[in-house]
Amino acid sequence: MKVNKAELQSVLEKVKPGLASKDLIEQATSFAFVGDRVVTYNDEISVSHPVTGLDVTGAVKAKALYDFLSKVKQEEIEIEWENNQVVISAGRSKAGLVLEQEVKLPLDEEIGQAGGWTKVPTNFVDGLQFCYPCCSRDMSRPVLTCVHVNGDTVESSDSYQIARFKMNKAFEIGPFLIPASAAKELIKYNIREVAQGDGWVHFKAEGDTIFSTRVLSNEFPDTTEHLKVENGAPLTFPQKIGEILRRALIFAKAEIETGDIPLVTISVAEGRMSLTAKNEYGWFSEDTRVRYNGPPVKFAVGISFMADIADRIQDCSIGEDRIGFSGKNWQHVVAMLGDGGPEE
Amino acid sequence: MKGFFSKERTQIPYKSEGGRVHSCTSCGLHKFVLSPRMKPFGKGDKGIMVIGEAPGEEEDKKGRPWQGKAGRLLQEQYRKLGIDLFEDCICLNAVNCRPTDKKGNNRTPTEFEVACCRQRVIQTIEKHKPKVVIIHGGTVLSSLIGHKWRKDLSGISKWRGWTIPDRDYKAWLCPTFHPSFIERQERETEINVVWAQDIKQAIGMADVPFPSGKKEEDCVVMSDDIEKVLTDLIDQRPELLAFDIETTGLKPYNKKVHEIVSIAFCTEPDKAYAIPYPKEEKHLALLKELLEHPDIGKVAANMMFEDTWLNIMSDIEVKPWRWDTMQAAHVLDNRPGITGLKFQSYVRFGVLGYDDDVVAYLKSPGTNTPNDIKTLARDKAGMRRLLLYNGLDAILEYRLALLQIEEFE
Repeated sequence: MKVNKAELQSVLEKVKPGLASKDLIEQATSFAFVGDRVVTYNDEISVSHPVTGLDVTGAVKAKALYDFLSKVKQEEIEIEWENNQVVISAGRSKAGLVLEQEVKLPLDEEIGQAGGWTKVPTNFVDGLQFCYPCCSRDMSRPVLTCVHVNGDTVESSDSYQIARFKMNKAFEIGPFLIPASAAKELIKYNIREVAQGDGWVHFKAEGDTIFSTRVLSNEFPDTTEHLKVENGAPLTFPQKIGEILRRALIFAKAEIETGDIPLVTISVAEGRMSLTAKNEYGWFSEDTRVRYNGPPVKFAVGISFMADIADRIQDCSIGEDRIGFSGKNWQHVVAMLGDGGPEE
Repeated sequence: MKGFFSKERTQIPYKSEGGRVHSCTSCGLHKFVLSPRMKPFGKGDKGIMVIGEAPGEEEDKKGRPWQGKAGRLLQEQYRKLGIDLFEDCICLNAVNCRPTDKKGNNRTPTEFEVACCRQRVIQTIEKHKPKVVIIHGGTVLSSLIGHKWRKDLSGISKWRGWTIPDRDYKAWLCPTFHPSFIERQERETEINVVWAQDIKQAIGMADVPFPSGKKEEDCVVMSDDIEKVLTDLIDQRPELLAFDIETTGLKPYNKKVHEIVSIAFCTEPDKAYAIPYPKEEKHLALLKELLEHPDIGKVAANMMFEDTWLNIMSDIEVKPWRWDTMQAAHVLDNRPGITGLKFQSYVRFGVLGYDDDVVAYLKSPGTNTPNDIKTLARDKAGMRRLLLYNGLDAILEYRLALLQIEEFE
């Protein structure tokens, strides 16, 4: 049968997040064709998407199929399914890919059937996008490696910073914890609906893609009190703070103590803010004017995330041991690190 | 500040160090057994949960735990104590599919298999909310405690016989031997007696209310007002004063390098005071007065440590010493590895991981090399974390001493 190559590539691209990098589970590095859908599964994420014109059941190695398609120039390719192989013809090229006729992925027994769909808040993906960079990479603290979705709130923390995003509507299921690795992929889809599974949560995106992610059932720590900055002195950031932070990032050193987050040191005193960073390749320093009437402070903060949100900061307040930022529907609090704390 | 949240002990790692997800799929045992993912069995009328290692051949055939030779021995032992294993208890295993070797014989589950099944076991505890969880064998111990006990877990011999008020599971955890170990004994020995006693004690815990009270963190008063804290304590003249110091190392002999960074005191079960270690002469004089006061009995965990440091660093001869929780723990039970405050705090009060925030700073690379405690204490928030830890040590020391004194009497 004739198939449009670009369309097939686009479908395979959609299910790619469910592929494993190593074949720890049988067929975890394969595209599985089940009825009218192509499915991937790596024990953490499973993605399926409708595929037209390929009514077959079996699994083919993802890398071989994907790489071959990307090297073919023809817009239309011919695909034929034989007993134990898939033959793809493109112009004068022909390739035969081994076809495992039995799909061995534990789709039904592990993930179950997704059903009971409800709408997700329209800015859910914005919330995920805002929060997932604050997740921890420390696997000994698994809860903190996840984004917490609870009612109309999305939040995350690596213990050194907390991000919270308020959505325009509450989730009808949950609360649940999505691993940051899944959230990072999920934000690439236009998510419309959600369904609760047993140990999994399923998201339906535009085009009928179903993205299933394993979720953690543990309790996320209460962040409410930590988000408060008591007796904080307001600080108005300069408009070009984002640019300055991005320059400083080049020289920021990742600190083991903070889970390898690159840090920048910020000193604020008498209407001036000084940003400094230093790593093994060199150093950076930049002064800028700010509006701030509090006591002189010097603190170190994780720079990457700060650089991302800098242009959206509406309020900033510096407390005794933390600094708080907020915008239209979000809050972000950073613990003062290193030489933090008010200077004498 | 070094972070908002202490390391939560309740978190179950969902990935192994090699990056494999702890799930049935990655474990794979379920593919080769007759009874995959064996369900818990029993009515649990008395709120007792009995957890074994893994199904054997007979269990796998019948689809229920405790069906083999060891299971029958266990049923018999419980029956002697008036307990029907399947009416009064809920039974399950740490690994819920039968692990077999290449020849098809039973084998001990691997650590990875235990980790893969851990979430299932914990969810079962959460669902059934037992009052008592009887842990039969080291594998179960590893399943329920292994992931949150950062030090060497050691074998079941160290843990058996304790009735642990575990705050995560909200149940009494009662470890003891696995019946197959008893069954393998060639003749009746003291092990049989100990095993029977352990089970009897565990069953009895179903009638003991689970302890509740003020969170230890809320009991610590952290203060910079050294003079007031010391003066108040001297005025109070408590009968017992538990105290604890945080230092830059283990041995104080190199005074140029080492120092005492903080000190905490406890005179009642729900209140401790933690202060930075005094530096001013007048404060040191007050501390000396308190620690040498003849009417105030002193309590410590490893008094040799406190005694030596205070003597060398500040010329304070602590007296009168009334109690050392380490020595008392050894007198009460001479098993190795159980006298430390962290172990005692967990098995007696269910308090675990309160040192998570500071433990990295307390380790020093060598006996004479200072640890990193001063790095922690150099900013206000770091000092508060150290004082909190110090205060918790003092409270737990005090509570432990009271319990031990009662047991001695």
